[in-house]
Amino acid sequence: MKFKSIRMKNFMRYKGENTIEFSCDSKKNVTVVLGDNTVGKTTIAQAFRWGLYGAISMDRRKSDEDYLLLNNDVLAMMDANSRAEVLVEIIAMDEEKTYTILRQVQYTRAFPKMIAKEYNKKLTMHVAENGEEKTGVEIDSNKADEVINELFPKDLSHYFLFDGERWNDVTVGGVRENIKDSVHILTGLSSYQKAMWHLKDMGSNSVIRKFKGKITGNGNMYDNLEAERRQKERDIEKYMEQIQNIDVNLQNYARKIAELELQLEQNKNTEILQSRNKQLHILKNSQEAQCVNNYKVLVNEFSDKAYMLFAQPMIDAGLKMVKAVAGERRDIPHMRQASIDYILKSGRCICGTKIMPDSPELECLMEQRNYLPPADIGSLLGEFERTANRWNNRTAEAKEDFLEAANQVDRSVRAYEETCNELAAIEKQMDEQIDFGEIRGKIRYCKGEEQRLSNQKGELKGRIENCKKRIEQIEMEMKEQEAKSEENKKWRERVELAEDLYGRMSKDFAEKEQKIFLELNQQIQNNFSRMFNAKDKKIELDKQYNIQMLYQTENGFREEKNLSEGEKIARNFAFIVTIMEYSRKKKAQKECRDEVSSDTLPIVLDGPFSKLGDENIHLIAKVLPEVSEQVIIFMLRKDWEYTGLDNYVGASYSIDKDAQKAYASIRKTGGIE
Amino acid sequence: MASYEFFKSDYKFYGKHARMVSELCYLNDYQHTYFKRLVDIIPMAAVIGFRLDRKAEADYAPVETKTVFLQQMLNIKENLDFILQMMIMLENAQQIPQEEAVKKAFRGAQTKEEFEQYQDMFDSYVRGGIEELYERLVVRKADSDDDFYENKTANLMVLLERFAPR
Repeated sequence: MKFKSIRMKNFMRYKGENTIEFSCDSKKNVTVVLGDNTVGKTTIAQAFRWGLYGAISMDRRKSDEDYLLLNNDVLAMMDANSRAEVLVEIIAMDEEKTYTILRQVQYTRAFPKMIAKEYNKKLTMHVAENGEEKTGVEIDSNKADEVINELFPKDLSHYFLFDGERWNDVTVGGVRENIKDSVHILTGLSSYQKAMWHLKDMGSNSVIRKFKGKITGNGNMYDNLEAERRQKERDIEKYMEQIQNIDVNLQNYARKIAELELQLEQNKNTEILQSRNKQLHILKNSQEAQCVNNYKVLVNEFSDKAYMLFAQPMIDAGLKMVKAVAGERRDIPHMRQASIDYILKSGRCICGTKIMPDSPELECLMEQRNYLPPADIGSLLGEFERTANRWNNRTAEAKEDFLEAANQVDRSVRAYEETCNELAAIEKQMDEQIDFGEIRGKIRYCKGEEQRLSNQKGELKGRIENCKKRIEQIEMEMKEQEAKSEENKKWRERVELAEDLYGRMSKDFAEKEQKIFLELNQQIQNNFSRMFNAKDKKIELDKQYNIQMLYQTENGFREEKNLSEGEKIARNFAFIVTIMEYSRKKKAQKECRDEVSSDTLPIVLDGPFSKLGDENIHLIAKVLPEVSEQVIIFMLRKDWEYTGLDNYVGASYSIDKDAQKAYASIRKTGGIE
Repeated sequence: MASYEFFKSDYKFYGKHARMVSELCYLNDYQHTYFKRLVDIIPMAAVIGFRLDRKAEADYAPVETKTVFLQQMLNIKENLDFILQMMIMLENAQQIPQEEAVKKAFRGAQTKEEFEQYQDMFDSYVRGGIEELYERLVVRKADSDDDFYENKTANLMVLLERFAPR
């Protein structure tokens, strides 16, 4: 089965007519519709759903009244007298026939309010041999829904029509309780179930019961027995009903317990958190002290020495000047002022020259005296050099010391801040903790109730068994009392035949169900590991066909309930692919073909990849064209490059929306844009 | 020997410079202070002001005056004298022969005018240095190119890189 085209008129975001023709090529079987966020990709998926089933959403929280089918822009242009039409036409074809499904609704406007009122809904369906679309037959509009449901079973719509947002739901399509039924429909087991129900399981109206009712007997004894049998049968039905109620409650309690235990599981590290918190507080205090110490070292070093280091160029320049001056004028070595004073006092120089007042000799000696110690400048020059040397010595390794001190500060500040961050995170986590006692109390209560209900259920089952045994006895007795008429014999034979048939069917059913379960489980695991190269994870179906994801632990695989969005999608996707493959195989077997049929349902995907990583997009996308004969994807333009599907694309469209306009339009593109 | 001695009185910061030094120095708060004591700012500011040739006028905005007391001044007098000596020497070397400049520096202030002139020069450099330090330490925010993660440390190390000889 393939979709050939979809035509929408004034449907939700699309004003006027928009048509998409899907690729029906067997190799290039992918049709892609690319658009940016919020331009109306999901609307196309909704058009499919509405066209096929007359309903917009599978979301149970929303009813169809929550959606306005008529394009807002069209509505705004209407007056009290105008009429507007919304239609979706879907053309699909299989190997023999072409099916045209046309769903229309007329609207008036409750002018001047922006409220649309629908006044005429219509569904028409046309079926024709391929290539002879003009002829063919109209399907009676009452029957059309039924035919559509045969072609595209609504129960399976979860598997071939998805929107991405629901992919990560607890189960596929958010319809948990229906998965098993859906699988049974798909695998053909539901017809067994129906037959068995009809034969016996429905109770007093079943075939076997009715046959038995035809058998007649004589006398009060027989009538009494028959009355008692009816009573017992009614009892059984009553008990069954009670068991059904108990089962619903048991399921609720089981779900509740699972939720509560998950909460405990998620918070099981509270104790660890508390002790870690304590440790961190101690660590934080010591780190804080360490920081202050390191700051202190740095600040002290800096205050004490940095200016000496920074003054180095001044000192160098000063020393140079002082040395230049001193080099020219340096005093006579080892001579002191006192030596000159002695010469002056003696009145004669050591060279013998007499020293006269105001003579050049005296002047020369007096000048020399100025540069001798302890005269001011001479000693101060020396002093200057000594200070300069002292400063130099003190700062010889100062730069390295500063850097080391700074590194110490940096390291300790980082460590301290890391500790603070960790503490904040832990405290936040601890703040979110709930009262464990209360949760444990609830779990205890739920488990107690579960136990009580299970006991009740067991007791009821026992009673049912008793009733059945009693009925068997009664029937034996009745058989003896039975009138030995031809008529009775005929019905007796029929009863026995029906009982045999029922017995055979229930045996077959049990075997097949087990086989299908095992096969599906195997296949789903294969698909999962084929699509997602994960060695430490696997997925599995439980008896209710819920998909579980298992993580490898030291004690083997263990169910993990806390899954990421990507994991949920991957898990559900593996399931969907498995179901599609299985239905394909099933069909091939049914038609006794060795080759797996190419005739299966198309897959229509709305934004399937928005929550996946690039690598997973590729892994998932590459299996799509293989598992279905036709793939229709609406997705974000930016995600396309990761799919790697370019070689499979047979038709591509782009959704354009002018920012100024309230409606979108669809444009066929020559390739991916 | 000089008849006038420097740094033998309280040292006061006024106006905006008082505000700036109060942000550069938080006594006993090692996480936030850049200098151990107020007095430590003086030699640093003097050196930096002189090296950048950045002088600043005194400011008398109504801010609480910050005072370094005499006793602390006396403790670092020797180092401040040395810095001042270098300042006089190097500054004068631009105008008069080196020999004279050196003599001037070692002779110190001979007159009241000289004393006030030198004092004023020193203070102007200190104020210029304070402004520079304020800009480089308090105003500057560490950026991602800095080698150090912590803002204060990063700023100190950038200052070190700028002024320490290579």
